[in-house]
Order: sequence, then structure tokens, then C-alpha cells
Amino acid sequence: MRTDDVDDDAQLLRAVADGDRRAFDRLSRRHLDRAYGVALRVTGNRADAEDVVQEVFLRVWQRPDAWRPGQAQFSTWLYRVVVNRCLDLKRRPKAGALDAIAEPEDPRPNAEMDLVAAAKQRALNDAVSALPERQRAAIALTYTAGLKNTEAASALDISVKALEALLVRAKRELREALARQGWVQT
Amino acid sequence: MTEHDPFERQLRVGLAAERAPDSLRRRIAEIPLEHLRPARAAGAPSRLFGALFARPGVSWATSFAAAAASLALGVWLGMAGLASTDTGGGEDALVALVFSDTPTTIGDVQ
Repeated sequence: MRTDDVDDDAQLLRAVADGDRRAFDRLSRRHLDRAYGVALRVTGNRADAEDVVQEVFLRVWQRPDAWRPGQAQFSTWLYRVVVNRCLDLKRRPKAGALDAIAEPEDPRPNAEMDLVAAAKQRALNDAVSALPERQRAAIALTYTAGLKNTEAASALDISVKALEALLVRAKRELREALARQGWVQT
Repeated sequence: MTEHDPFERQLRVGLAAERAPDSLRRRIAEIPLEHLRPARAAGAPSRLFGALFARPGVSWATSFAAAAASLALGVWLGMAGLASTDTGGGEDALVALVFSDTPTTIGDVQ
């Protein structure tokens, strides 16, 4: 199989099961950023996020049959494993960890605007890190991984209604936290 | 809240996944090298079958259909041979067909 041409995760997983390193490389490159983003949001810590993601991809390499086609999309299964592993760590963000989440690059040349954007981003990071774990996971799966509500609910093994409730509470807390610092209007 | 809501837009931009660090990329890329895993072992029959049919473009269905057709043809030929009323003159008939002026049985030779 020419794995360069394969867009389907299931096909890549079959190739991975046959020991195809290029298929594994392609699969990991496709999902790495978002898996890391979710882990970083849920753990609030770079080192933990990297360890979790490495562990999860090692599992994909060693046990590609752990994901079964037809139950959920591979990406949904992957994020579920990432989130569960993060929650298993049961660690609160370490001191200073909130600053470890980098601000997205801002193309604007104005230094003052950069500072404002960075401060706003830092406030958002802090507010997300202060959320309860489940709310943080719901936010990360929805906004960082970009999953639909049904997929995020499946990844968290909860109903769509329960996910929506988590999101409503999380966004209310984020809005209030950012409003207290003047970044959004209530 | 909709996607047009400024706060919703702020969340989408602010919480978007960033690029994973290069150190992590290297760690992930090295997984197959550090954790060598032999290809799945195949038995002799499956290896033989694979060598016969696992060519690009030949699907399992095509291979199976070809095998079934071959089997059916073989059975039909076999049944036809068993049902033949020719009780032993088959070889003689073939010789007579090819060499029309050659005696086909010992009894013809005087």
C-alpha cells in the first residue's frame, strides 16, 4: 500500500498493524498537534502533555487493534485515550505551568498590540486552567481538537446533553473570569 | 451562542491547537525504531495464498470468483467423463482422428 496516498485513518491503522512505519508517521503527523493541544489544555503542563501524547502514540504503534472500526472514529478514540490518560494523572497544574502555554503567534507588527494580545491570551489560559477537569476536557475537545458535540461526548463517554451542560458551565465561568479582568463584556 | 458571537470566536482562536514541539515530534517519530515489532507472522498456507493472489489490483472477490469458476469447470469435466458411454475406445478414436489410415486396434492388423 502506498501510504502517501491514504487519507483514511482506518487504512493507515491496518498498515500500522502490519508494521508499516511510514503509515505510523503519517497517522501521527495528522493527529499530533491536536492531541498535544488537548493534553496541554487538560494537564496545563507541557511535560505532562508530552509524556501523555508519547505514551498514547506508543500504544497506537504497539496495539493498533485497540481501536476497532465501526465503534467511533479513530480521532475520537484517540482523544478519549488522551483525555483519560490526562485525567488519570490527577495532578493539578504546577506553579508557573499556566505561563507554559504559549500564546498563538500574532502577525500584527505593533508591539503594544502584541502585548495586549499576549495578556488577553494569558488571561484565557489561566481561566481555562482554573476550570474543573471535566469542563476543561470538554472545552479542549470542542475548541482545541475541533470535535463536534457528538464526538466530544463520545470521547468523554457521556451523553451529548451532559457535554452541552459542561460546555455551558465552562463558558459561563470563562466569560466571568475574563470579564473580571476587563477582557470581555458581561 | 453562535459562531458569530465575539466571545465564541475568541475561544476558537485562543484555544486553537498550537504546533507540537519538535522534541515531541522526534520522540513520536522514533517510536517505531525504539520499539521494533515484527510483522505479523503468517502460516505457510496463507503465505502461499498471498503469493498467488496478493497482487495489486486483484481483489479477494476476483480471486475467489476465479477459484470457484475453476472448481465448477473441473467438476463439470469430471462428471462428463464419468457419464460417458465410451467404454474404452477413446484412445482409438483419437488415433483414428489424427492418423486416418492407421489401424486403430490390434484386431485390424491381419
